[in-house]
Amino acid sequence: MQATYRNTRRSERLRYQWEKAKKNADCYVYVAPFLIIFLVFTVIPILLAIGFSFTYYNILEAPKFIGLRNYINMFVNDEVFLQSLKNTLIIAVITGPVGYLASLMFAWFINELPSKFRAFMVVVFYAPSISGAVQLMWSLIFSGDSYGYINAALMNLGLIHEPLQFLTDTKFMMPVLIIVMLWMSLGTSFLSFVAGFKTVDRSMYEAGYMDGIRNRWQELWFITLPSMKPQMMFGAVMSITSSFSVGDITVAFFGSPSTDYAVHTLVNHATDYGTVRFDMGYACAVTTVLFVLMVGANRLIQRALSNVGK
Amino acid sequence: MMRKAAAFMASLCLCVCGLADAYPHVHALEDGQASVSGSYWEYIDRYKAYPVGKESLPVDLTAAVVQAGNASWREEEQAWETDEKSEMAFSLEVSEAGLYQLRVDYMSCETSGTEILRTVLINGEMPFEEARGMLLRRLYTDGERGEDALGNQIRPTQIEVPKRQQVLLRDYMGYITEPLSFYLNKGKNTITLSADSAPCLLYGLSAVPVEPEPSFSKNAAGTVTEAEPITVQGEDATLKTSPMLYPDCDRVTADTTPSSPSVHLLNIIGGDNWSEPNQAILWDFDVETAGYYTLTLKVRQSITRGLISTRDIYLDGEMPYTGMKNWKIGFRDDWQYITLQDESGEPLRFYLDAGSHQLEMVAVLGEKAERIRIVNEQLEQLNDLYTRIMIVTGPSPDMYRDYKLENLVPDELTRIPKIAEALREVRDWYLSYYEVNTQNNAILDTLIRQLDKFDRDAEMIAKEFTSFKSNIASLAEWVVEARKQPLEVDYFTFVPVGGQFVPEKASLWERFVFGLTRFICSFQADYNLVGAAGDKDAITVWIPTGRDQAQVLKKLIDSSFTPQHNIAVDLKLVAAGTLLPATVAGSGPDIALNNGDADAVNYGMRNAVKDLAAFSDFESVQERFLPQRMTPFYYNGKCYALPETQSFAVMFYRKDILDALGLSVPKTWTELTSAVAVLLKNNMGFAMPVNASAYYWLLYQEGGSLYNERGTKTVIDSDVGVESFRFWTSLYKNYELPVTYNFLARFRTGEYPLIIEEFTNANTLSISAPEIRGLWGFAPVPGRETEDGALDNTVTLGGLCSLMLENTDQPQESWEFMKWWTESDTQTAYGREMETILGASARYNSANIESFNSTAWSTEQKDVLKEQLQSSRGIPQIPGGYFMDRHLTNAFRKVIYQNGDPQDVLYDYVYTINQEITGKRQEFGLEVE
Repeated sequence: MQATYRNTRRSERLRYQWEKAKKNADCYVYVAPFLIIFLVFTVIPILLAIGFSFTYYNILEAPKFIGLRNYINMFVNDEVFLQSLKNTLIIAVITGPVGYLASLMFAWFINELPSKFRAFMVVVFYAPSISGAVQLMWSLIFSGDSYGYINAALMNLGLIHEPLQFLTDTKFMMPVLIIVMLWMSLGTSFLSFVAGFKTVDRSMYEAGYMDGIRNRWQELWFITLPSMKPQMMFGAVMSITSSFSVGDITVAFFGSPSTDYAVHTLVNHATDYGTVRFDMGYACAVTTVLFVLMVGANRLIQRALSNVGK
Repeated sequence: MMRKAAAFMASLCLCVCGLADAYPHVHALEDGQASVSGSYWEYIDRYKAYPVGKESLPVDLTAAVVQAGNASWREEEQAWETDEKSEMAFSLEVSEAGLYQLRVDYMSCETSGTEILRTVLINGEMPFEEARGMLLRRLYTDGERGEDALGNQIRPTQIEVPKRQQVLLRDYMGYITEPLSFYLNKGKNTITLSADSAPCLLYGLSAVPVEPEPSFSKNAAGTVTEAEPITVQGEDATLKTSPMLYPDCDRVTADTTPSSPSVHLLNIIGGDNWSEPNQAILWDFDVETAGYYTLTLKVRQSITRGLISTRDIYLDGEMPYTGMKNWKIGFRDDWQYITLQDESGEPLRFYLDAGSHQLEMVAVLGEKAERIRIVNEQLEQLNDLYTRIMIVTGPSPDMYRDYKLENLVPDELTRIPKIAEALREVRDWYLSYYEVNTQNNAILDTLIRQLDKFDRDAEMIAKEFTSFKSNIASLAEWVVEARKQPLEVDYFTFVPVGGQFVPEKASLWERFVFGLTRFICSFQADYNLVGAAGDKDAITVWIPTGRDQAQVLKKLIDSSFTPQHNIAVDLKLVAAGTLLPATVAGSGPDIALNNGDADAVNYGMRNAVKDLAAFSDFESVQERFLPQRMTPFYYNGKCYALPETQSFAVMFYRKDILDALGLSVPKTWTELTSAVAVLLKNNMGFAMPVNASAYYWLLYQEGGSLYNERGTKTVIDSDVGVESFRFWTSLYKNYELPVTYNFLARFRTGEYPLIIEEFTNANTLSISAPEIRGLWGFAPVPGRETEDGALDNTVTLGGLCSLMLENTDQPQESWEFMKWWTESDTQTAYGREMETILGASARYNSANIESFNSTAWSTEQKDVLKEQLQSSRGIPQIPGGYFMDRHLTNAFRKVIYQNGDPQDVLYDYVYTINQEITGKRQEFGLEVE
């Protein structure tokens, strides 16, 4: 009895929604281009990847369903997976928040500059993330050749006699990666912060002074940041995705795979399995784990951001 | 204490002098500074007092003696067929001693297109350096000039024309603008013609009298001739001396005739490719009305900014007027119309009778020859100076240390002001030649200033040593640039005397329309279209390299494959790495070219490519390649690919530095380590590739192998494997081998005079390191002496391969294509075309043995390559085999960086490797260990 009732309610609700949708059909047409692209290139691939993660799929032949074996192997047998999970977390925990805060701070400082100079400084700070040849510069600096910048400088000073292998010696690789990542982290989130600072309503500050704001920190915490939450959210999502999906940069610097998997990340691990070892099922399982991690991190950030200004 | 130090200094000096003695060539340099010993100029100075020869003296060909190599007498042609190593002696009775020029009557044999080079010895001795490797030119002509569906003209293939020619021997480098003169004694002389490369047919050799000055006649008075002007288009050249001189398309301006803004018309000839001295283009043309004509050429020199290009012009093989010698064309962005003139500015009048005539233009250095030669000599001196100082200080000297160079290398330092003086003279001459100080000469100024500084204060040498080296490299670059004589020819016109030359110039409006049309057309052109056959039954072939490669291949398919086999081909240029996703999507090609070796078995194991061994004539196709080149493609008795290219390592060495240190090229690892010890003592070193392949060489040389018989596990943990690993890592620990280095940079500075690298780097070196031209060579990599005294210098062999995809629906047609593509004619033609378009740096290394052997390497280089190729081995591919390279690198780094014990480290990684192999074998349901 109750079930029928609920079903009726449900079908009524659907019909109501459908009527409403018909009435606003033009809106859906406007949304359609993005929606279709989003579905085809984001949602469906994610679902497919999750599906493939339960199969043995060597790319060139049809996939075979094998249940949870990929996941069991991953957590039980695959030391390299655990290593890459650890690396990914280290990178994410350090570069994510630090990069995020740095972007915020720099955006704040720059916001204080006179407007012409500000535009110039924005370009200066944003340039690293748009220049494609970032690797080239850093690989010259950290080159293991005795003519690499750092090595040559240290050798000239007489501090070392043999060049240090920054890019292949496991001792140095993680710190080098983090330095490069931090340098590159002033990306899109930085730009959105710069924009965010400019959107804050000036009258809010005056009201704030009336209400007893005493210094710039209070101004930032109680007025500026709460009023640019959308930008902060955007920045956070960008930081998470970029720090969890580190992969290309490690290949460019440290080769694929890096010495003893010292800077092997989940993305590297998935690429290694997918393209070198022809085990796409396993690679999909790895990316699924990565996906879950990212979604989880997103949740955490959202919760943290809701506390801003409180 | 003081005495002790003095004794030490003295012994050092002795040591350095000893080095100089080991290098007598340089010792000789020190007294006669300006000219190198044994140069042509010295020779002429010595003999110019003697009278010149008066009569033409042919040698008796039949009485020739073959001293080395192979040469056979061809009765029906009355000629000697001489091979690329032949040495023939001819005797000549001379009635009057004096200077003669040598005229060779020869015909080229069709071979690989290698330059025909011959060295002349007079009475058993080489008279001067320039007599070495003189060029007997080959002649080429255009093949058929095709058109594609859109009306674009396709660049014709250059075909060699075997034609009998008579030439006077000249300096190969073009520094001596006249033909070379040789002094012959009265009485019997022996002239030896020794081959440096390429065979040829020899019809005659004669000594001809030197004309003291080319006898130029006065400009003819000329009478008015009633005739139409005769215009010959540059692109219609009949013959040229290099396949690089092909007709080309110029779409820059509407002025070029003919011109089209939309389609690709071949409308000019020459350009950057016509830069080297001695390159010539010949045009045949017909004259209807005999009479006097003047000559106007439409040419352009817009390539070397601010410089002057020079040409010698011959009409019917003669150069009657001075105005035809060292004809200068200055820089201008646009076409220039130049009429040949005499000194007074009158146009030169040529008498042309009715019939066929020939105009020839030869690139020459002209007046610059002398100066460029001087700079080139200074360059040799500077290089030598650099090397000698480097032996003392190392390539990057300590800035804060006083090396006391004035005590250690006093003789070298005295050379510095002389070099500076010679360079200064050249700089001044160039200033007056160009009347303005072009920026091209900045390097001369810089170097002169630096040398002056060194001369004043020897301590500066150590301080500025790195910039000194890069200045030397720039000076070498200057020589290369200064030698360039580019020129484009649109057409030339013989205008009858009394007639008027009317240039075909486009008006401003026409130019505007042309530019606009060109811009609009640029949106229509499909730049990725290489050539769809438009046929449903066509087989699809993917090539992931460059557009040039794809176009050359397309041309070969159209001209040879499709007509022969009646199979249409869709050739597509794709981005690298597209094959895997395309195969997954089921839209892959029938054949994929240019794949890495490892792809074959990787795809094969997963049933994505066809087993080629199943084709009935596979065995005969396989014989085109070395058996070891096929190794990586075999798995479980099936063969998944055919090789396209092959590459392997050789040892590059610097002749000058090894000579200066009294070292010879090491043949064994023991010899190598002792040579490296000497190098280290002199602030230099040795380098070899830092990857697993170096370990494989050592392992194979010791008789080890990578996997067990069935491929179920690796056996590098055997005694041999561990020993090789220990030796490999010990090289790095004990002999300071670099873990990271740049081959080109370290080799050209001489910091690493011995480096093992892929042989294909020789092409790069010859193009991008002109300052060390002739100072380096390559030899087989060091080997291990086996018990029976033989030398085992095995290296690994790799390259690219072609695959046939499993889902092809035309396996037989695809197989025909693969057979055609790997055949020696196709590979040779492909390689030659690539080299024509992209120059020697793009030399193709075919896996087809016949084709590989016919590549234009010098004889000496070819011998080394053949030797090294014979003792090379392919790396077998097995499931999970990719873990070998990966973990050997890890093991290597652990030993080097963290001082791990080689044996323990290797055992650890062997365990990991075997685990992966077992895992992969289980995946494919194969038996495991």
